[in-house]
Amino acid sequence: MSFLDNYIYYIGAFGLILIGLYTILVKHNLIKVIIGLGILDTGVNLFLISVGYITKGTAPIFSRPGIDPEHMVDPVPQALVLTAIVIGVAILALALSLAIRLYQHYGTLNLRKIREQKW
Amino acid sequence: MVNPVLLIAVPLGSAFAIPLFALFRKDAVKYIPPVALGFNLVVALLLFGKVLENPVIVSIGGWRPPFCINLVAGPAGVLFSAIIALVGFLVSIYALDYIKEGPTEKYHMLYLLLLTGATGVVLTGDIFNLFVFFEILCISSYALVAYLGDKAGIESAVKYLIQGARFKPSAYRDRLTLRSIRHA
Repeated sequence: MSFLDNYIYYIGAFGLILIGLYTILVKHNLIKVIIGLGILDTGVNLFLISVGYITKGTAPIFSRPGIDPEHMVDPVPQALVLTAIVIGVAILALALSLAIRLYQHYGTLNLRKIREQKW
Repeated sequence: MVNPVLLIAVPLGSAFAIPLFALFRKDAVKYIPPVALGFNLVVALLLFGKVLENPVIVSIGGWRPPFCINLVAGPAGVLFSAIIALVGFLVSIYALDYIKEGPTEKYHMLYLLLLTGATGVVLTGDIFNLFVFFEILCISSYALVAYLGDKAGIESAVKYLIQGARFKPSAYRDRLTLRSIRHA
């Protein structure tokens, strides 16, 4: 039980990363590959957040007096992840717009059918 | 009185000024990148003599270094930014005549963003901003690969984007390791 209590976020994060990697490497539909990219991004963000987390920690905001900084979670990974979410959305939008143009050129999103996209 | 912030602020500002400028004078937009990058080259060369004695550390916003955006302009960083500005300046002169097809003002905007990202990567002082500038560099290079919008370009851009994003976890892990080393 204590093992799960301590490492549940890491297990979840690496599970999400592995699911995302599997989707990117195995699926043939470009939309599914982009979904895998999103899942991978979420897993990495969860990993970064859980590195800075303290058990029963509070948000790093001095909202009321009497809170001591010892019980606050690390604010730097949170700021990093906030930026990473925004950048992830930008990359997702760029990938989807490229998928639209790819469909206009080739008439399919199946990566097996596009000669140069096989891997 | 030269500040390393100018090396990032000038190309970034002129990159975002290009679409506005293109509303009025679409044909003159192509002269903005050589001007901005020539300015960068001059600033980097002026800084270089100064940072050989002691590095310039800029903390933006008045916070202490772990929490602020800080730039560390050491000899290596300024040397690299001078090289980036020199190569970028020469390429932008070449691009004056070379770029004729497609939405040309968007090319010049993306090109300046690319060089902003590269300069930021070599001048940054923390992992956070390394990440941000690296993503600026990556996203604008994905868009530049697909610039003409033809079959081969789009196809290569999709490939490049997926391959680039796939190695993100290992890059994050390296950044995190660097960060924990710094805090130790």
